[in-house]
Amino acid sequence: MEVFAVTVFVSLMFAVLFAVLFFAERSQRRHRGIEQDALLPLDDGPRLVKIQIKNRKP
Amino acid sequence: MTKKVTIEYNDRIVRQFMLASVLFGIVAMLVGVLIASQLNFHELNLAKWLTFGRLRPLHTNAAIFAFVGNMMFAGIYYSTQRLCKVRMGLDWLSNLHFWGWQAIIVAAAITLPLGLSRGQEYAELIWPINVAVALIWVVFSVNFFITLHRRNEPSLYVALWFYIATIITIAMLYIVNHLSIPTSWTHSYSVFSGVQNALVQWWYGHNAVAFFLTTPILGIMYYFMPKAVDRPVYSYRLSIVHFWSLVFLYIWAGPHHLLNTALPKWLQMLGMFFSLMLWAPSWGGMLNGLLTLRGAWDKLRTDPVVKFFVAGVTFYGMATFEGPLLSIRSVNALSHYSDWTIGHVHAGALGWNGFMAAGMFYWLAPRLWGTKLHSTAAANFHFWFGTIGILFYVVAMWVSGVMQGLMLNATTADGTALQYPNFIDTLQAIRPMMGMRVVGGVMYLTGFIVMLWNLLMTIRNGQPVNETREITVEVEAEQDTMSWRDTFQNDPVLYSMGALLLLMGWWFLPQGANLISLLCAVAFGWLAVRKFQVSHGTWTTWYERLLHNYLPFTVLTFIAVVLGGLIQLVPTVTVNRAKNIEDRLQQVYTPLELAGRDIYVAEGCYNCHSQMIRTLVPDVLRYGDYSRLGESIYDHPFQWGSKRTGPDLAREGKGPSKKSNSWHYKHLMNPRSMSPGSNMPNFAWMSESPFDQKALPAKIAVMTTLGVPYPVMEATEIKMKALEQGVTIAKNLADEGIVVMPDKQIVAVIAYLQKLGHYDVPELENRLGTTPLGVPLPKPGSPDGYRAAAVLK
Repeated sequence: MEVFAVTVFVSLMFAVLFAVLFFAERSQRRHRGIEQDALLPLDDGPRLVKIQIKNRKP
Repeated sequence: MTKKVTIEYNDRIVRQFMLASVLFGIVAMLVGVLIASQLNFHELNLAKWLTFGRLRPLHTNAAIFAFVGNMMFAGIYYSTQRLCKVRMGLDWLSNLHFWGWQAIIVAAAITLPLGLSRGQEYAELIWPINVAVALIWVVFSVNFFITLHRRNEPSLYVALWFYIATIITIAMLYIVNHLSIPTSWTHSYSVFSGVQNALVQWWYGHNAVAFFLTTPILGIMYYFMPKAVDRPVYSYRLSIVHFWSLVFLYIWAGPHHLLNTALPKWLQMLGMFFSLMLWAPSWGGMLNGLLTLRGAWDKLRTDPVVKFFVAGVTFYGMATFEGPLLSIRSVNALSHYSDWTIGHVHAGALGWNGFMAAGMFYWLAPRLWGTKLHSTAAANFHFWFGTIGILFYVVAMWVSGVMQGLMLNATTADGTALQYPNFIDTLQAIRPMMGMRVVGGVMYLTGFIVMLWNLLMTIRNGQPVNETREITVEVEAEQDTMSWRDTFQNDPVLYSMGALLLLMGWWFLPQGANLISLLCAVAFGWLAVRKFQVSHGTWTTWYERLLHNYLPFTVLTFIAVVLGGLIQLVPTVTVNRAKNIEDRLQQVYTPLELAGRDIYVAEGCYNCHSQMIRTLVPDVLRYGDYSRLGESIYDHPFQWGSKRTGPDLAREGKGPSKKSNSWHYKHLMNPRSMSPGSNMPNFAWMSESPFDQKALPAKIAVMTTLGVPYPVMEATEIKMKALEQGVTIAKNLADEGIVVMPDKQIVAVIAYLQKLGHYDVPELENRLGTTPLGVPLPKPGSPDGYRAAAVLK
């Protein structure tokens, strides 16, 4: 029974820690670290419909 | 606060630049294969507009400005829009940029074979085309900066830093090095001459490699490599160090093209010193690129795009290792003027530029036409065939360069005579390697033709697609708000400037004071490190702010690139030329000799013949006493050259090298008649075409404006003088049974060749001047002890 309580407790602590860090990170978005700029080439945003340009030479 | 924005990128312009690059790349390589073959088979100099001297500038200009230029624009237009999350500035500016650039390329492709040339490497284009280049570059810059201004992403990604450095530096280099005074619509004289011209030219020439062939491609690497492997760049902090150290150091390295020449020694040492320092940032960038593949090396086996990028970056590492090596004065004594340099530059051009271009095109084509790459197998074939082609080429040039360099420098056992006094013997020895180079070049070209087919098939299978994205824009108040005070008044900038100032003190101050300056620089550096450790957060915050402000970033980049040029060029360019001649003063060219010189320049003779006897024993043994500053003081443009496929001509008209007029006539008509085994083209048409008498008065007027001491002459007098000297040469030739009219080009060229090496020896007092009391000034201390000692003898 104690093992069960400890497991739940530790898991909850991890979950809370995760949530705290996650929201802290979210709120820090404007003051992000410089290394995060390295992600810019990969941050394209969702692609919308492809615009097919027909009857036009490239 | 955030908002959603839908953006349709201008991918049409990317498609246009990409296709232009592929097309002109193949043309440039085709011309390269032809001129490489001409070195083996002189018969391939089929007509006067197809000679080696005229086509080699076409090859280099096409490879640099048409192939890499268009590739760079494709990459910049594609990535800038995505990194700024906004469509490119103005569509009409993009279109004007594209069509203007292609018009310039076509104009160059017409004028260079016609022999219209400024006679300086990679700066051959005539002045109206240069004006067009400057204008179109401004169009490109305005379009780029409008895009930055309108960006929806506050922070500037590292690729954009490299693009900014490219744009401002190329504008500066191109304008300064092309300053000329026109004599007609198709001809001009550089405002610089002799050593000043040499220094400015190689400040430009070396940095054309740095800021046209390297920095934009590094920007492309920083964008496309992470895209290709779907991973962020290995270290963003390393990219900061890479960028600032590279753009600051590169600009100083130009004088390494002039080692052991008449260039003042302090400049040679500065060039060598900075070239060696370049090793570090270049390899930092290479490692940053390669390590981006961490955890994704498996893609190297399957994805041809990754193959090309990895090989390209590896070649960049090899070329940037070899460059500093060749910049060491003693290594340069062997390598300079030889094929080793040619091999080095092709490792960069074919391996780095060509493979990065291929990787980018294979990545872009499916996305720009909304389909899959037609054939991965063909792309793989291109990769392997191209790689083997480069290896054939580069290894052949290494062997050729080292072998010819050793042969040219070899002396007999007692060291008093040359082992191979006949230059042709050294040329014959490297012929097999020159043949192997053609094989390598053909293989590389074949790979590109396969790529063209593969891309065309991909295009046929798809439809042009303009990518449209919905992006989330963070409306940030701090974007582009940095004040000039914040830009300059901060620790990173102040410490950097202070350290630089002290280091310059070490270089320039007299003995004793220079050591104190060095010690202060070390102490200052230690202080800066301490400060950084304590206020690390402040420094980072400031840099992050800088990245959110494109104009302050651009201004600081400009300062970083302009400093080296100012410190190197200003003392030499502003010096009193008349007092800086060492012990010799060049004799002014007569009108006919000037006409002959202009033909020499137009035919691109400088591509194979130098006019600079270096301060090296083998050079002096072969060609005579080493060249002095004063011997090319009136040469607009200078013709020191960078390659000796044939012998040096600095003393062609004087001393043991002097030959008769008839020798030159026969040699120009058919070089093999006087020099068996030569690979020089025949210039037989020169005996039929008249030289341009009408242009001479305007040319001499411009020369006078530039400070060449011509006596006052009427236009008719100038033409008469030219003809009179022509008649003298024609009579001399007639005595030996050669009939030629005195107004022909060949006569003018002979007059010029016979003038080479003629100088006056002014008295020391005249050269140095006197004080108001009439007491001779002491001889100024020369930074080059060896040269000063030799002058005083």
